[in-house]
Amino acid sequence: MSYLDKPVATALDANVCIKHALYLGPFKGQPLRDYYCNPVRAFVNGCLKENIPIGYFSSEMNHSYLNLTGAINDLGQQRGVAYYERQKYKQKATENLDRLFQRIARFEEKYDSTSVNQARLFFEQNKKSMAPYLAPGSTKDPIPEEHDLIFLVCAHNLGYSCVHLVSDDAHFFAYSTEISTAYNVAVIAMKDLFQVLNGWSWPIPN
Amino acid sequence: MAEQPRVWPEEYGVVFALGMCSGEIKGKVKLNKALALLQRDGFPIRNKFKNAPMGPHDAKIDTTAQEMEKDHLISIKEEPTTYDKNRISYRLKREGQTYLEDDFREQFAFANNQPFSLALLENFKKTQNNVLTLKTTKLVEQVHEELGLDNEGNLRHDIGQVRGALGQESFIAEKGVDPSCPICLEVLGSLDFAMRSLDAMLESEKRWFTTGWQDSGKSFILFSALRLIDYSKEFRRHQHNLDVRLNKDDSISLMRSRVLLRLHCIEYNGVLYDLIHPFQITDDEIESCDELRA
Repeated sequence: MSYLDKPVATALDANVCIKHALYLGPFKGQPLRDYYCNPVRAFVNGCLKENIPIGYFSSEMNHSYLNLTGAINDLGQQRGVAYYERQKYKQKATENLDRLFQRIARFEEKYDSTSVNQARLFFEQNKKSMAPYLAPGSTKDPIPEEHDLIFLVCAHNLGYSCVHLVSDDAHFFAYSTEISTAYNVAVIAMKDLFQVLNGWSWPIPN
Repeated sequence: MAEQPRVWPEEYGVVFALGMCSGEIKGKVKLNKALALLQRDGFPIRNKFKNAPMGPHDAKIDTTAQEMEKDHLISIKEEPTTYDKNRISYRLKREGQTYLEDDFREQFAFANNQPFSLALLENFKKTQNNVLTLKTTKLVEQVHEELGLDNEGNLRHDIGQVRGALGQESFIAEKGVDPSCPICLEVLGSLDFAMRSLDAMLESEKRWFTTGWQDSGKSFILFSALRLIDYSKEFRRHQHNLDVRLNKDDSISLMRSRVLLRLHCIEYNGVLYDLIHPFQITDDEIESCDELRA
């Protein structure tokens, strides 16, 4: 199954949940949002509207709360938001995260150390340079971190014929073909999300 | 038209204060101090106090107490003293006691879901202990010392000094900041708003620093700003990137709660005394940004 087909089921990782939560503003007359906030929300809304199973794993939920402050500070710094307002936006983003986790399903995490080690081995065997997938000058270990491996294994173990995941993590979209074959997981790179949603006629607000 | 229900404890401040003090407060001065301390420390007491010589004081407390008496919630008695003046004693009646017991949980309901509830309870116990155990003169002396009320001519100077100290502390805190750390953001955000509040007080000099007694709100905000500096110093070497939701360390929870309570106190008193208004984000505002609906 290609990532261009509509999902059978979808699991959200921490980054996507954060982007969904960064639905803030207005600040100085403009919405304060992550660039991908609206397409991610359109993606989630589309899944819910079409009754496509969509959910999260508890470890990803914890990561999203943990990484929220960094995301707010990044966004705040880009837009010149002072610390006091950032603190308030953080509270609002936390509420948004709470709401998201109430709206979507909590998937059971099924994994063991053997399957995680096998996933690590899978990446080592298919090892490739990350350079083409990263911003110029940045580097990344070609083997994903433990929690990414767990996420992939858990998505595979959900038992659906295919699980879609949206990610801006180069580890996932760089290996998307291999992952699709070995794990029945269709990776949509975040940068392709606008195009994919248009293909499905799922409206993205401006 | 039906009478609007009273808001607890905002309009029932007198009953609330009596409940805090085992049902009895002897003297107007003490009642005023009890309510002022509760307001200073973030309780929703809506009186507007003035820094009078035996203050903070609000003349409306008398009226409210009389209303509570009419509602059979409290009794007010004038008792002779060894001094020239008689003393007014306030006592909770059975109806008031029942009301308190029935609504005991509600007393803190506004704070139950707040991140500063630990510190709020801590301050409540301190105030309760002070009002219960200290003689009126000692209580007034302590409140005046904490709020710097005996040298009110220096208020502007004090605000300027604390503003400078806040700026310095904020500079130091920012040097050690970890952008991913929620505690850093809470400390810096609170210091930021404290600075703005003091700036607002200094800028409105003509309006606020005229003759007569000053609004106590300025002194309350100054008090909270000073506490914030202390808490920020204590937090300088905290563990970054702690998951505050899952944190089990009670000392960290209490410290966070103290910082957030002081921010709340500055925001609350800032609004009540029309000094500064906090930044608020409403869902309507957010959704007005585009057409997206869940």
